[in-house]
Amino acid sequence: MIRSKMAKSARKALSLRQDGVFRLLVTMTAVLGLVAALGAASVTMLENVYGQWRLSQQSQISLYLLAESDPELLHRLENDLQQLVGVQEVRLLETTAVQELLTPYFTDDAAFPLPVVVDVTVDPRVDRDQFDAAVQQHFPAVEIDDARALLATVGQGVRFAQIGIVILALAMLGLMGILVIMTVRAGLLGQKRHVAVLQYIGGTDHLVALLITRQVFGRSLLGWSIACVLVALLMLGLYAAVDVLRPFMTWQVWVSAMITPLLLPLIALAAAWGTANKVVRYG
Amino acid sequence: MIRFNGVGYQYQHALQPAVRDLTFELVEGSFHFLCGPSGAGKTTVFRMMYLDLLPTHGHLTLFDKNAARLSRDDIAAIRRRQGIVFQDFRLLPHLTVRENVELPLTFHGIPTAEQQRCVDDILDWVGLSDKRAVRPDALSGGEKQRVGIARAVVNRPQVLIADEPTGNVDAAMGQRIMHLFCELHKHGTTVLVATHDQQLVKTFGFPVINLENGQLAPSKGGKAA
Repeated sequence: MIRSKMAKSARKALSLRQDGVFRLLVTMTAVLGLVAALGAASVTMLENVYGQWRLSQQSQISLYLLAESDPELLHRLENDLQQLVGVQEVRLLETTAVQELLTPYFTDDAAFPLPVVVDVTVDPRVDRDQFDAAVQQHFPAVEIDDARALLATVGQGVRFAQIGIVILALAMLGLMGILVIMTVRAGLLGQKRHVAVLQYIGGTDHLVALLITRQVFGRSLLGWSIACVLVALLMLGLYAAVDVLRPFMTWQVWVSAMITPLLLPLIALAAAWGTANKVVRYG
Repeated sequence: MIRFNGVGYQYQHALQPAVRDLTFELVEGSFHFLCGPSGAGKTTVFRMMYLDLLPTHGHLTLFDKNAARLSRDDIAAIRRRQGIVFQDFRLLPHLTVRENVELPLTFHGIPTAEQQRCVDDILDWVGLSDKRAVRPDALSGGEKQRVGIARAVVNRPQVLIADEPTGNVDAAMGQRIMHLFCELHKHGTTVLVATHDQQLVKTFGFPVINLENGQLAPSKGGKAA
């Protein structure tokens, strides 16, 4: 019915500019978009950090043996472990390295027998029960630094944080929807006479709704663009200033930061279209 | 083209119907006056014609379609075949004269270049070429009415219905507006003009549909429909 390139008269026929909330729509979308983008980037980056840390924890097992452990037994343990599937490297730490590792845990300078520490690098194929049995066969009193419990706890924490951010994002989307519904309702009810004139001269309900929806969508897209520019500048600043973050700012982090706030204009589009059609039809 | 068959309409909470038992037909290419005193039901008949109201009794047929069975898209489609002139103009105040007149063409999906040509032609025809960039607030009552007429006829409607189009203008302007309607009628447009100006009815001599107390009544002047 109406051409995609809408005449200026049609574009101007109904205007939401008088509505206070509508005038703030760009700012609100930009602010909500910025928060949503940072939230999405944080979730993705947290996942990256956690993933890399989990990988390092899962691939490294430390064995703590008594200081007076028999070198011969140590050698046999080394051989046995290397036979196991999934064990990539077995490394006996030098005394200086052990001392450096444990010094922070001791408060006095008293001499103490340093334990023997063996670092074993494993891959996911390793059978931990078989591994533990092989170690305990030679050294029943061994202390195996098992990161599995810690991994589970940290994993739960990470998931909890991620769910929290997602709930916050959903709340913002909900807020956006409510704001748009209020704007469109107030705007259309305030221009009831104009809506009626458009209908008398042949405008369909969908067409009138389209005139309103395109204004809301346009403004929210502008807000989204501003949010994207702001978040890109912020992330570039972080990338340049904080070295430790660089490895975790993958392309997925950038994409999630740009795409997630796009949900705001989409929510605005759906809310405006649904509300405008309803108000035009039922008043 | 438009057929009323025993049509009545009762407003909510009203004690009696605004119009009742109306039976008449506007055939294609005809010109009629709809006359009657204030409160006779002229505006109700008009509102039913452009489907702002649907009859509570009887059958109304527009372009061979039963008004009671029309979807909202059908109603819009029928309105695009009609031109409506309102007594109170109903122009959009924030649009210029050109933009007000252009709107129906946009809704018809007419290409922009053709829209410009049609609007220029129609504004020439109603004598408002020099006012195209002006907003309605800056126009006199007669000029506003001519903009309303231009908007109503710019898409060459099959039916033109005008509710008291001369009610807010002086006699000379009233005559001028009627001459515009006659010119449209000559080109085949079906025209219905509501008026209580008996002088106008006598001058132009078209058939009259006379309403009194919501019912058809014998015509007192002009030809009976």
